[in-house]
Amino acid sequence: MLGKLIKYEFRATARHYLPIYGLILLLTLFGGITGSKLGAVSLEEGRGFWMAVLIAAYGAAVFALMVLTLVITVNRFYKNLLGSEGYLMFTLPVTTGRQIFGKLLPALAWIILSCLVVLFSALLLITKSSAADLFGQIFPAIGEACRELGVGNFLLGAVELIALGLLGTASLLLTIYLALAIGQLANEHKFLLSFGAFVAIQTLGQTLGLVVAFAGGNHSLAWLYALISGLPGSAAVHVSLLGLILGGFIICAALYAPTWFLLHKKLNLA
Amino acid sequence: MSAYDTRTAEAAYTDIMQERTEQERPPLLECRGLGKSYGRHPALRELNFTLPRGRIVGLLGPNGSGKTTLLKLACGLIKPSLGQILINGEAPGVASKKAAAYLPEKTYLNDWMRVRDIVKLFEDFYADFRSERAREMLGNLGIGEAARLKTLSKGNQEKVQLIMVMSRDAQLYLLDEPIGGVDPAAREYIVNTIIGNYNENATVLLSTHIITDIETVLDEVIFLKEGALVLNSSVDKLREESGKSVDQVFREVFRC
Repeated sequence: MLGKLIKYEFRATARHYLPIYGLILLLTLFGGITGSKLGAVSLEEGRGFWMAVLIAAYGAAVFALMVLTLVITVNRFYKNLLGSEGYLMFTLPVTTGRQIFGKLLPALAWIILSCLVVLFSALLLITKSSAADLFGQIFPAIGEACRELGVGNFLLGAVELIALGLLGTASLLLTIYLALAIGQLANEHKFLLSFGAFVAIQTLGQTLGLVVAFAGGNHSLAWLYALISGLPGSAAVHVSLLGLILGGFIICAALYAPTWFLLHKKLNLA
Repeated sequence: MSAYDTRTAEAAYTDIMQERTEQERPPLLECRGLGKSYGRHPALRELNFTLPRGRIVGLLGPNGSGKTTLLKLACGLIKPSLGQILINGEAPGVASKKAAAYLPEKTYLNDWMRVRDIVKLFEDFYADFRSERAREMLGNLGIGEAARLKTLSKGNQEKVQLIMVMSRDAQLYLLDEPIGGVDPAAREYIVNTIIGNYNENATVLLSTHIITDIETVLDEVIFLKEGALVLNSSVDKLREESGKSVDQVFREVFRC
């Protein structure tokens, strides 16, 4: 059932994301065709006007993608689960957990894809490289990194960084979901309460972060610092990253659990 | 004992066991001290009743009497403030959602979707959905499957929703004002759709305040007034005891 939820979620959101991806890639192509690559021309060559147009259009498209990602993320949870479409979603024979993951996983996938589209197009625009050159440079760069760090170290580090990025993004999405799940408890002004809840959760999270940091300063986490500093360089990095990943998991679980509870036990589609 | 007698005894035993199993089955829908408040406003007050299988039940009451609240509670879209509502003996959850088909009073389907995508969606999620039945009904009404929902008139959108719900072989149909906002011809179609598509072991609980059009198809009625149950009776018994139609009794009970 989760697979079906994800399929319909992708179908509902692709119609918003794909046109803006298309626009960004079109602008990149336009940059390539007109030779307006930013690194390749100067104002003296008389292409300054096109360069300015390209920068403005590209910047606007990327900004639009960022806004769109936020709006869609909020809207899909708020309207599709907690608005009138929720009457269908919550009468499907699907568990509450799958409903949440049915929103979370596609949102994560779109964010990753958006980052890749922007990164790839920006690199193509800024450097003089063609797409083939760029891909050609990626593998030697990976080989170089492997030689310097060791294959095991490089792969483990890459996996750790990707996991950390995913957990960080998931925690932001889950914060939005929890805020909306709190907001739906109200019979009126649901969105306002959601906004307040988001600010409160963020404040609480940062306060807890500060408490942990201060606790470290007071040597209550001294054993952790001792453990890390006693390790050889690369191991210390891995232990630190794995610790951060564990922390990310705990934060995500701490945000998911109350969201599940509120949607499962306190759903209020009034 | 002959072989014939043995078979007869076995058949009789099977019948008795089936009957006993039927008696032991929990009610299709049961309310136990069910109450719901929105803030300080009580929408339902301590309801206690059960719904039998194989009946068409009218949930009747004026606007604001708690009909929609009761149906939403049965679907798990809102939660009770007091007591319990049980479907097949269980609180609303995945099992009850497999057993019950719900038609809300508002449009709830994604309006950007094409009709055929909506058919596919129901087919994907409900094992009891009969897509041939849905396609046949859509064809009878001249609703093209390629049409996007938002391009259809409001009346046709409501009919698509009703067709989706009634194309399920559900045990319980929870229909909220299915004839509320449509013209008399459409009402007739909707009532015929409801009668023609539910199987005889299923129960239909439909809320309305327009009684005359559906009175003839109802087996039972439940009257709600300001969130309280004021009448729960079979239609035959009601007519026999009062000598009046359901509509006349309704007008008396809810006289302003």
